[in-house]
Amino acid sequence: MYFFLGGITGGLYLLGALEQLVQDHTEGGWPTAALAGSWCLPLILWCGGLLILDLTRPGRFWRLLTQMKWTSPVSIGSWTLVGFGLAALLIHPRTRDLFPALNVRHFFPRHSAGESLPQFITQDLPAGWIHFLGIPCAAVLMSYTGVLLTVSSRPLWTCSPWMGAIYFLLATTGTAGMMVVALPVLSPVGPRSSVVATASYQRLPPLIAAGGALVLLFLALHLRRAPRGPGESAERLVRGDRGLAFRVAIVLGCLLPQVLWRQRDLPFFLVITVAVSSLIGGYLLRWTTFCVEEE
Amino acid sequence: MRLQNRIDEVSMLLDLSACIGCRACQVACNEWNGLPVELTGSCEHPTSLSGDTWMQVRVIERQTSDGFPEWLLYSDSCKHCREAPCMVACPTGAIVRTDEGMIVVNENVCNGNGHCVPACPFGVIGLSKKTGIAGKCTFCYERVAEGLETACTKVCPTACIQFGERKGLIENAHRRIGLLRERGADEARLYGEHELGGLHVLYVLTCEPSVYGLPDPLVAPRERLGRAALATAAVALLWGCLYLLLTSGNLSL
Repeated sequence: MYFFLGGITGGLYLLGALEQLVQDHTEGGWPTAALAGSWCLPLILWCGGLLILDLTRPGRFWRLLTQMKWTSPVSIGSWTLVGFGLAALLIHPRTRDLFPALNVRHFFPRHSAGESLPQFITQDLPAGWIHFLGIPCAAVLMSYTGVLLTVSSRPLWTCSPWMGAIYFLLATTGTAGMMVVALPVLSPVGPRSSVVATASYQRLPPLIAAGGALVLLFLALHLRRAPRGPGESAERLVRGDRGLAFRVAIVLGCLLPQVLWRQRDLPFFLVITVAVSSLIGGYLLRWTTFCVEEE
Repeated sequence: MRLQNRIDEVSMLLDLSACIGCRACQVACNEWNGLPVELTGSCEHPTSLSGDTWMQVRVIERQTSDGFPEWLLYSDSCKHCREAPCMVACPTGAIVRTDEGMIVVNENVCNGNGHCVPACPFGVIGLSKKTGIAGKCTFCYERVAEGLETACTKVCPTACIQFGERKGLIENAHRRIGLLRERGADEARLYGEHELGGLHVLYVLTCEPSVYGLPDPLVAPRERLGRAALATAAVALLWGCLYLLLTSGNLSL
């Protein structure tokens, strides 16, 4: 669960940062960035908490931060969590309230009209450091589980280098799906109708569709190289009880979202339904590919 | 056999052509390390290594080319690899190498994150149900440090398990393989001389490693890290370009 949540949190940060990069504030605001600013910190704290509870000796969790081993994906992940947590803390609105000197308003530094150079250097430029800290950390968080699985000895996970890419794409579709549902309800920018009409929101359903198609492509490339034969994990993944869950995951997470390419022809409730199904499908896909090798 | 002098690199050699499956090694390991007994009622008990079973005699049933059934007996435990993937994967530094080259788990440091478990290509390490921390064969390092052989070596009735200096054991192994081949075991070979930099537990096998469930070829998991990271970065960039296309409106909605 914390891997799934971590991927969503990283995706939220990344989408928020990209929204600020490509869109002017006057084009309906930055609803995703605003939501990311508020939610990344509590979500990542929740992830960290679940990770600590998952240890069989939770009291020794601090041992994960006693060294930095580039050869250990778990070590990289632990330090990434710390870096991302720091970025999420700095971008949180409450931090700005408590420490106005930080005054970090953006994921990226922007020179506003009428702002002097010293003001830009002292107020907006620090945001550039958060960008350098937060965005790569977010990308690592999104793909981390897949890379971790690739650097193991289980046949299904190690047969190709695409697991990290698959988990990254699952995180993008999951985050976009969650945003489709959450933005109209939770966005601090404005009422539901205005949020839904923004370019930011309109961009999300095609992202889900594109992500789903790419997941299918790279999953096919990965499974092509998986060892086949009776009893092999690839066979257990696609057949039997696990196979049913896997097939449902493919339909919900990859195939059904393709209708979102025609989102303008779809009623709003159907867009929401497909977004939720992509979230469920993405989770099921992670669960089935992970659990089949744990048996 | 008692070691008179401190030896920097000791090893074990298991001549599986001489194993009779008596399980004395398994019992000795449990006794010396105070491990619980896991009964399953089958001819293998337990059926796999775990955090509470550090040595296991496996029974592999197969058919020979003449159509006759054959049982291969294989005493499985940690191989104490020179390039140990578990040690590389451990994020807390709990898995360390002793002066004699053995890979052991520091029980006071391990926090049970369990990422050493999938990292091991042999599946020999697990989390103990009793303590919650990683457990595996320690090569009886406390005995070896005192100049003694391992508990399993001491009790083995057929001298299938041999203990001593690595170089001497490898020479013994090659002599034994030569003898086996003269007697018709054409596929006899030594496993562990070079794999993962060399294993501290070597095996004289009578057939291909895959029959025993041993990985061949043996790839260190961390060798996949670079390619996996590059592949992920490439797809992330591709996704980023897609996002920019969607934003610019060049991709129709």
